[in-house]
Amino acid sequence: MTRRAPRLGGGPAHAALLLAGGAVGAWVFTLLNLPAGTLIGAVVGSALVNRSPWLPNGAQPLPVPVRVVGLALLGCAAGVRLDADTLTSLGHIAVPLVASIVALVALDLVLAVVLVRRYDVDPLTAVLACAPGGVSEIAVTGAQLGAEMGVLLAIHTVRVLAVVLLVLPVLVAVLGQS
Amino acid sequence: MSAGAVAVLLLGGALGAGVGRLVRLPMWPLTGALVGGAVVHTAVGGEMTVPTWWSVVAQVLVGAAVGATIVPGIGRQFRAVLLPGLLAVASIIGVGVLCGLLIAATGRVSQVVAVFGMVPGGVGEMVAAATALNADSAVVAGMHVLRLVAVLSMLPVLVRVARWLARDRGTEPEDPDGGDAT
Repeated sequence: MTRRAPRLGGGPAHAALLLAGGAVGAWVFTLLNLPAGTLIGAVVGSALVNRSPWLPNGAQPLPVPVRVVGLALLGCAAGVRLDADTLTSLGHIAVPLVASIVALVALDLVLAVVLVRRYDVDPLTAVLACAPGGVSEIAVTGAQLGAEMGVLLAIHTVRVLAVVLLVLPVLVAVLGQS
Repeated sequence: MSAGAVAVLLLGGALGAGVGRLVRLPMWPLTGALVGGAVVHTAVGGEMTVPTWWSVVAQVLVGAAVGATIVPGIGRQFRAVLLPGLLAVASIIGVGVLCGLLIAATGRVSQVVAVFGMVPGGVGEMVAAATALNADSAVVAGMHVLRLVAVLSMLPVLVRVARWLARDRGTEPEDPDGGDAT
């Protein structure tokens, strides 16, 4: 249901239109206070513009450097969260933390097998859809490798929505009293 | 964050991504820039938080790039996996909370830090919730960053498993190491 993005997009004008659509979508979804609204809104906005019948060259991907710059900015934002004190604290829980991450990855594979065997989801999509990674990073990986983006975004969006709307309020209430 | 600090961080991230590409880090634009950002933060010291526009621009660029790859049929895909997707999500969240409680049981971090650090939801929301409960939000963020790096590093292996699964079904996904390593 997705196509592998070629290296070049549909020209600067087309790219500008897609980015504008993404920016408007991000703005609208953020105004609506949707979780991960900036990212999901940008996905929806860009997709809607790209499918518009009035585009002269039809649907085209964005140039690869756009994705690279976006990922690098995300990486920087995550990197500045780490400093020496934080790393020391993390070192104290390194063993159970690594074990927990391994458990989540193992669960990813088990769930992926279920999706493949029982629901006929393609394996790449199944593995990425159940991966406990960031929505942005997993989505861009899926888009690059040709995963079914509807499945991928659906499951990750539901995950973030469930955490923010259901799990988080319960955890705050329970842990806040402890 | 001052304009100078933003420039230094951009430079550090770009250098990190460049080195990451040279040494073939998985997802080098992200993981390389992450290492670069951490090095800059450690070198500069003190509080360092990227401005809001930084995160917004990053998400719009990535989101627009993803959106441009979507073709008709996404709604049907969404409906087809709604039930198994919900079950998968419930399992992932449940195991995340359980892992957090087990980490807290070691007594090395508080229950709030451990649970919010292991629930696989949005990093920003988890950090904000930990801050609201006066917990060490930096450790919560660090746990999420490590999970992210670990999962991204394991993606090539996971996709190889996917290929093995695909062979069993008669189809085969593309090699994650074969294209431009983003």
